[in-house]
Amino acid sequence: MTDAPVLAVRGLSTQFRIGGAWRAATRNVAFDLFENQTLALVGESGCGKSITCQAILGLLPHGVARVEGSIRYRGRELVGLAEPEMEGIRGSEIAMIFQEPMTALNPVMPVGEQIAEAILVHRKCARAEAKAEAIAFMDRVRIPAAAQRYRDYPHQFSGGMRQRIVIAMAMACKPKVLLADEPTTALDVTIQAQILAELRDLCANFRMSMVFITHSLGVVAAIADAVAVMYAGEIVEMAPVEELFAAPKHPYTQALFRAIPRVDENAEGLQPIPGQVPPITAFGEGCRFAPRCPARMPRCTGPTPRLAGAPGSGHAVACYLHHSETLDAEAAR
Amino acid sequence: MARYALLKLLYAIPTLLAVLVLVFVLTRIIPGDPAQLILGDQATPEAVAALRAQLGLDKSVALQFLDFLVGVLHGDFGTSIVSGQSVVSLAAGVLPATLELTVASLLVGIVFGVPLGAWSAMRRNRLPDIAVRIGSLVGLSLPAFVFGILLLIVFAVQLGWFPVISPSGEVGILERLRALVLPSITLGILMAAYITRVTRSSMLQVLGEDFIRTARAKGVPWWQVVRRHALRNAIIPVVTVVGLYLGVLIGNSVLTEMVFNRPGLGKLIVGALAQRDYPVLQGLMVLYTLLIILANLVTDLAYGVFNPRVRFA
Repeated sequence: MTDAPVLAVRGLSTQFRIGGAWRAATRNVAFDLFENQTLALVGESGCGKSITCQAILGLLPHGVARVEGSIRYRGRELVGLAEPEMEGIRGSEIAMIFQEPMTALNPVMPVGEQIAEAILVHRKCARAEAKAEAIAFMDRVRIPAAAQRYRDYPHQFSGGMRQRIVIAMAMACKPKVLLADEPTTALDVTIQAQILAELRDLCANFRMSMVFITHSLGVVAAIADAVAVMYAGEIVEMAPVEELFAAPKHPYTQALFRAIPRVDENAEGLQPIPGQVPPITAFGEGCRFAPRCPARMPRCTGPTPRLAGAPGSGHAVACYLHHSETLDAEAAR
Repeated sequence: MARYALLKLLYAIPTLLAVLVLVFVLTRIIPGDPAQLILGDQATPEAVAALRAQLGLDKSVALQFLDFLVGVLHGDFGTSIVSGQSVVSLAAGVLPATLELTVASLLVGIVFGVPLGAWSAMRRNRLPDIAVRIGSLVGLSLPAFVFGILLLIVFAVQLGWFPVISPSGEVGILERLRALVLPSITLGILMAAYITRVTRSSMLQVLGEDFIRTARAKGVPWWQVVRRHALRNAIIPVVTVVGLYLGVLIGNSVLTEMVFNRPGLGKLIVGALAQRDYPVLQGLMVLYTLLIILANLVTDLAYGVFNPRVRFA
């Protein structure tokens, strides 16, 4: 994991046109994804996790959304890439699976054909060959009697089975990077565990990297190598998973941990985070968590704190509470 | 699929029965005695009574209905008072012309409606969309007798590209098709306008669905996403609308046949009305109903083809 990152995101800003004005939904998002690594993007709903993933694949609607910054896939710049070239990357190099297995599949197309389509789009091969491969992948994600079910339609499958099909579809071209947008949120808990195990397996077998979006810290612990915590369109803390769980630094991350129910504690110990994520139209300067932050200082509403950490630690945080450490470390260099 | 088709066929039976009752009652409540009408004012009461007996009008209403029902089941739709020909042979002579017109108009509707609707949806709120929306509104508002006559004046009378009056009797296939162009456009434009509107709105809805994004995330080129994923889903409500308006289309064919002076069921029924030829009127109404029921049946079956969720239900 010391090589160059498979995916390097720098200064990614995604803007939407709302009522005539461009509003930034994400600001200055930066992360590296290495081979065979799973990075979890964590945060409340509406904090820009999904948008970041869709921006990577160039799936945001033109004219309504615009993407600035840099997304490098194995050294190749994806921002501003022409649509036909982007189509060559989608599915074959970087694939995506979505939150809602019930609506993510085309209802009038047999599931097997939908998987085979992903193969046929990227590779010149016979239909029969694509079909055989699609069945092999359906088998691989443990769909019972895969060959017989090739011609079945999505409505003939349960939610968990559909998500397996979506995964098979994403894996069909053996992509290097998988963007998983809350793939287990819509499923019940036992199925959730199965799907997570499946994804972990696939990542290991194909030496695939994964960006895993979730708002569940439990899921993060189960699957991630590294975690990026997002708040209101920005990454506020990034760390290897053990380190983040051992010592969360950003007040928002700490608040997230306090909001997890535990069986060995009273429910009174559960502390919800007061207030709400500000709407996109109300993003201002300064730390966006400041209005809800228990440790707010006067300088928090000044210039935005940048994501920084002690060199080599791999633990970075965008908070003035910790900036003295960072500055000391920088001065010591 | 066979089970689904059979079920739909069974559903058609009560509809047909209801229509038979309605047609029978309607012809009975028309004022005036058919026998008197046939024989005229000067007829003797004896002659009228004899004819009544011959027509079976002296029997009870229930028995008359039974006769009518048995006749229909045997394919006997009555005999024309005017020409003495059976309704079936009269209708059979002109049915091909009417079917030809209906099918051609349906094709006009689909061939223009679906692509225009899809194009309009993909250029939403831009110039093509606005043009198509206005065009379809015009298409919806133009009555056949206005639009048909306009077409006739421009393309038949002024430019002479198409015949003014449809040729009757045996003519070559090319001549037949040439005569079909203006009437099928006249009749088809309403269908095209409806189909355009439904395709547009259904396409707009489908383009926002998750599975479109999934297909794009697979790297499927945009035009292929539209054709293979969006259109195949968007077409389902269109099939429903086509089915609903097939009845309207068949009804409107009467007017179109009159405007273009084409032989057909429409001209036959209008002629029968003018001559008070009640048996023909009654028989043709049943025939029209059969046509519409058949059209709906085909639509239901087509719906099963396009929508797998119905097929297995």
